[in-house]
Amino acid sequence: MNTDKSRRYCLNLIPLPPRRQGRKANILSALCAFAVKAFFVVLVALLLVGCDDGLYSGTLIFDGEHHFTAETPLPGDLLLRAGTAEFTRGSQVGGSLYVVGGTLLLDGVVAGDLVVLDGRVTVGPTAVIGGDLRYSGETVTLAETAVVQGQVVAGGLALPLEDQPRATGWDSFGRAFISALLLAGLGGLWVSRRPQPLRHLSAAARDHWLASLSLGLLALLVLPILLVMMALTIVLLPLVLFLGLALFLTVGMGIITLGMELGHRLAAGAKRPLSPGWATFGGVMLLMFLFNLPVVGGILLAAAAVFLFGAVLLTRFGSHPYHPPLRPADDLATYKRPFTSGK
Amino acid sequence: MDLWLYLKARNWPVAAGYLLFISMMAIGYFYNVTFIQLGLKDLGERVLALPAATVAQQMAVLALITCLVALFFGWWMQRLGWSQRLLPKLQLALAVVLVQTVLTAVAPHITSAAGFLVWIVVCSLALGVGVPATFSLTTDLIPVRDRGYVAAAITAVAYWAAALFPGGWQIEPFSRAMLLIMLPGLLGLGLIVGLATLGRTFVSDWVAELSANHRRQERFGHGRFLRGREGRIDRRFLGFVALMFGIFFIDSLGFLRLIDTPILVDGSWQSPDQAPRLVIAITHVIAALVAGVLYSYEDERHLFYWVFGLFALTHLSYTFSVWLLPETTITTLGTPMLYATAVSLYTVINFALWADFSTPETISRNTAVGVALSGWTATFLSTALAIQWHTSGMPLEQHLRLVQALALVFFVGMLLVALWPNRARINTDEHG
Repeated sequence: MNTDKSRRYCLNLIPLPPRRQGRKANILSALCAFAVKAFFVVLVALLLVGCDDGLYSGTLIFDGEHHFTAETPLPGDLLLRAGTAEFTRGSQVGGSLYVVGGTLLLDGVVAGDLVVLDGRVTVGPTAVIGGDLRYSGETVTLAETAVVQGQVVAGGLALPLEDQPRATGWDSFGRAFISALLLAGLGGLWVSRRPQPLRHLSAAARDHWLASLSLGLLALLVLPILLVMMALTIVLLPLVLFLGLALFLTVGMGIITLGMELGHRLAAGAKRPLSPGWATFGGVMLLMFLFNLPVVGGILLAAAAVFLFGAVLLTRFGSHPYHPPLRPADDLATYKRPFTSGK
Repeated sequence: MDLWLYLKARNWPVAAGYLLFISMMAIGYFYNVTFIQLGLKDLGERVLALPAATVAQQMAVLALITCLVALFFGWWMQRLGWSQRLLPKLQLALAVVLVQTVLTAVAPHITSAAGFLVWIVVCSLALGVGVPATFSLTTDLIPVRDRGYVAAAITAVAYWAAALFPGGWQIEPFSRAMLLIMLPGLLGLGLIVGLATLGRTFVSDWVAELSANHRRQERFGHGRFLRGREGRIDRRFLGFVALMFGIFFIDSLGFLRLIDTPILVDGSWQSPDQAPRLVIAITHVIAALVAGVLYSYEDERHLFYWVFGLFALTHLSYTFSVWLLPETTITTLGTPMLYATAVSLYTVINFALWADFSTPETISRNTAVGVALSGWTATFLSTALAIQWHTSGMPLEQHLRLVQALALVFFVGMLLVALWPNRARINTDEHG
């Protein structure tokens, strides 16, 4: 038997590739260091861009009494959480007004929407609202001569998001096919070059499926809430981008691993064996097809995400093989009652 | 899971031991989280019209006596060798259940502050004896590999019943419901202990067979976190006591204020609608099962990261809700579900952890130190502090922010400890 060939094709017997040493390793580590630095520079730049005047501006009121006149226009949005804000005749708000508590007395001009979740709002006779007036409950008093240029939506607040046109037909198929092709190609390359992390992941998901499932469930319950909370703190906003990227990578890694396992099993049954890379390519393509099926695809994707997310965490992104702390059970005979075990 | 293997091997005595332990502990825990923690507060403040500060002081008395009695009794059981004998432990448990049943029946009829104080003292004596007596049954009844799953079953049953409790959170419905559960339990346990004490019955054979389990060191006797140690109270053990103390303290400090805040509790725990309570009950059960699996598969440090992280996130979420919508009833269930998850997770750890730090010789003392110092002392001290803060007029937002900060301090502290070199791992790496 050709040793090289058997090493290539027997996925579970491939030894860990030796660490890259010398010049190549130095170049690689320098590139990694550069990438990490560049990432942080981009993050800082993004934050600084947000501070540029005119791009975004907001005011937050959570206490006290505040009066705005024609001499003190607000360029951006205003969020009133508590306290009192009064906009006299001639005052101007460049963005939208969000009221989640406190008291608002409006007699000026608002370029955007007025959204009222809670608190007391009085829209006076000279008030002009350029966008919609959206409110829940009966805490808004609207003067007859006040102007609302958009819609007045009472009760059941909806986020003012515009409906995105959904891709249909060939357009949708083309997008799904290209993303599947990219992921499958990446998976095939990864398995051909460095299969060990994916094999750790696959072994954890296969042999310790209960632990993977449990950890995945817990992580996916916590992560969305964590991301929202971090985004609200503003200070931790850059970390949200980082975590979002990690989440994206985790899901991608999980799909490639599942594709590798699926492709390997299908290839094992075929007459002509496929190399691990091509088997993974085929497996990922098949998976992506299944995930794009209506209804069933979504359920399959959700189940796979929970399951593989746990495996990724157990193996620390595939960097370590997972060994459970408690050893597996002994021989069944040792579980029998002492005086019946001899029968 | 070892239970399936015992069932497969037709080892019914051990399987019945699981059932006995789960039912005893689940009822006991349900009693603690409903009748003791919420019922007593209602009895003192609503029925007897005592000032909240007085009730807080008396809860602190309950905590202190329970803790001291548990510590003394745990040590005493170890000295007498009862720690390794199943029958005396069951007899003690029966005595505790008997006293608690009488106390439960008497509680709604208390009419004076003096009677309330006497009730609290007797209750704390019984609880103090009950802690080492019941927790030390673990080495006789539950194999090491299954402790996480068993703890999960106890937690799931107790919280399912507590979340779906049909009556209000008042002493009278609590008392009626508890008596309905405790009287048959008392009868059953009395029958088992009576027949086992008399001898020459199949029950005494069963108890004798179970009492030999702890001699199988690898499977029952030697806790998984001992790693070659002898179950002494060392620095590592006390470190985990401090961590569990932190968890109980944070939980009670936040919860007592949450349930006093209609905008937070009316949309979830005390919702007139059954659906939100059902969702929380289901979350408790799923989270307990997840925690049971993770307890068996994860390193002890990781479990604590999860718990502190979840608590910090939960209170951060509550703080945001209160901060953003101060006058609106919060009806979304995301945060209560997160809270239920955190609570189930640490409860599972508490039921399994102390036995896994013990040998059959030391289990009564170690569980007494662990449960009494961390659980009882922290719960009631934080209960007293929460009531004190509330009566002194501390705003809800500030209260929740303090709880959240405390959870974050523990979480960050844990991360710093993680950076400390793990001596056991280094030794393993060095010696292969």
